[in-house]
Amino acid sequence: MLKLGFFTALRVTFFVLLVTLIWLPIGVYVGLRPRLTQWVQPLAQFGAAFPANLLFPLFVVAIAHFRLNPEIWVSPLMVLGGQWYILFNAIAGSAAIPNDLKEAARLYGLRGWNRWRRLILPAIFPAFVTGGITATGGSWNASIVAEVVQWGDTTLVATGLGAYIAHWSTGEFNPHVGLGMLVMGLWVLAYNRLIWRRLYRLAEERYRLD
Amino acid sequence: MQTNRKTLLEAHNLTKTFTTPEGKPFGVLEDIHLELQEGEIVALLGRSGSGKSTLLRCLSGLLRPSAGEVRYRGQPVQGPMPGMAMVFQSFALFPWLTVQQNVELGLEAMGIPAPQRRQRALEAIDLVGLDGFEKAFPKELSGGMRQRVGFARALVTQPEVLFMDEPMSALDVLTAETLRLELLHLWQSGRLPLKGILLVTHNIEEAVLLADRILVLSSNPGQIRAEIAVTLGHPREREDPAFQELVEEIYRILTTRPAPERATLEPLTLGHRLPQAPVGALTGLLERVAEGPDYGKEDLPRLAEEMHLEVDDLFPLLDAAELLGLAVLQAGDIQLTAEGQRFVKAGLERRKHILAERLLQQVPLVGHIHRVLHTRPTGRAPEERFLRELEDYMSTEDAEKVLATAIDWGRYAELFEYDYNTGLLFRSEEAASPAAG
Repeated sequence: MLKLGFFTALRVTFFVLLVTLIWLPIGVYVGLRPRLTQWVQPLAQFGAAFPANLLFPLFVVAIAHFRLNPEIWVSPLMVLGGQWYILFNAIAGSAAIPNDLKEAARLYGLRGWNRWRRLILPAIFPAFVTGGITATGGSWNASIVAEVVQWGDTTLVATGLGAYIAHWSTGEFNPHVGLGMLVMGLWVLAYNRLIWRRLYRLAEERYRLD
Repeated sequence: MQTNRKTLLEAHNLTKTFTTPEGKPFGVLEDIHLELQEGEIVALLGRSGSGKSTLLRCLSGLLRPSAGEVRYRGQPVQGPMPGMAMVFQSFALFPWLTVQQNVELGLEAMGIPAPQRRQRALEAIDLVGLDGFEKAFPKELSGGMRQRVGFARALVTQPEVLFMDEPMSALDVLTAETLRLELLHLWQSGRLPLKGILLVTHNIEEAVLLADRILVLSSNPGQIRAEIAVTLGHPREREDPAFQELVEEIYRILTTRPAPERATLEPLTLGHRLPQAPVGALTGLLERVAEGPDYGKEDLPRLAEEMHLEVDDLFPLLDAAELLGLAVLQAGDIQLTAEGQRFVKAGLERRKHILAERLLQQVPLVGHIHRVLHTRPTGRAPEERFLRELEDYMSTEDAEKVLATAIDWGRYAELFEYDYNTGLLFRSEEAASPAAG
């Protein structure tokens, strides 16, 4: 059971990192441009509110059609809803970078990677942590519907705690469901304590802008 | 080449226009000409709204002027250039970097190798008297020490031109004075490759203390109104009559308006930038003038010193007093009008009544709000409505300030009421509207 949880944790971690790599630069690009922010921020919020499982059939059809390995390819479904939190926190974080810091960076010639390393990444770190906590939390949750997906005759199953819970959720009371939930709860707790809480504390102590 | 070798920085016909959210342009700076010569400290002095910080940003390449040009050693300035450094009012230190990392920032960007970077940063930190704090984070430091880091970060890049944007205004009086004197000392010691300093300030004494030349800016749009050469030798003493005479002169310039700006007697428009003068402070000022030794007339430098008011605090009050017809400004003095005298002598109720009368007569925005609330059957209107109207004339930020002032005044005068939480303005029920009788 713990091992199943490990697989799910692996998926959550990898794919949250992946969407971060994609959305963070985009979010920063948008957040540094006030006009664009006005347009994009509502879209990101809409994306977060949109029921992601409505899109699952598209993935199922694609995975079945291309005969992809469901162990890997159902995972994107888990972050489908959560990715938007990464985006809009990246936007909000970079939009809130104080103007004087941006001016100082420009005046002292910070450019390219130096600018990211010294100004942007530290400045949006607290917002990233907020987005990351929300996105991973959502992904754990979504694993129950994402590790077992069905559309028509096709059922795709990936090994993981979410699939375990989904498997035993037949509508009747079943102790396996309770056990599965308990273990997932423990995993989420441990995950948050070991990773997010530390990052959160770091964000509070070092990277807070006041 | 006709470029004067001694000219470090020059601006010609510099104009800066911003646009309101409605897309209407409004001028912040108009047709500025200035030069910074080698070996000079030039102070840009002006009231809020004179665009002095915007001017500094145009000169340093942080902002592009709408028209006109800036040249640094004859080269057009199109962005920040090597050889320039800036000290910020807010210090602008990176909170996640240590003192040393902050100081190394510019060197790092210049691609200087780590050992030399370290060496130069330590020297700069030493120069500003912060040795021992290299590993500290900015939040561990007091305001004065933070600004020292700001100076170290600027000086370590060995700039020729140093821009200072109200560098001392966030510091307490004593710390500010110490830093001023140390800066002057460094400047005169010749230990720095620094060739010129441009200082933006709203502190008249600071300007007279430090600068070789003072450029006084007028407001809305900012223009250079006067240039004053300060020929006093260093160290300059505030008690020196020549020093005081210069301070007086600057007050005179700031209170004597050129003809087109003398708008107070003409009716104002709805979009007039009301000075940010809280009623309480305004009343305090008028009372102080009335009680003064000259009974209803007071010398501005003395008033400023006694009430610990800098230009940015004092002038909005003076403007408000003049705008409401409670006082007149003349040649560096403030004098109460007959109405002003009546106001000061009156009790609270009577004061509110006088103010209400003055507001309806003199301030179109207050009159407009009052009228709207009285024509609406519900007797209420959202502040947003008036904000949108003001945005025809100015930026959102300014519109908010102006409306806040109008609301503050109108509430005090019991012309209308305001609910902060809902942002609604209400018709004041029992207030006897003076206009109605």
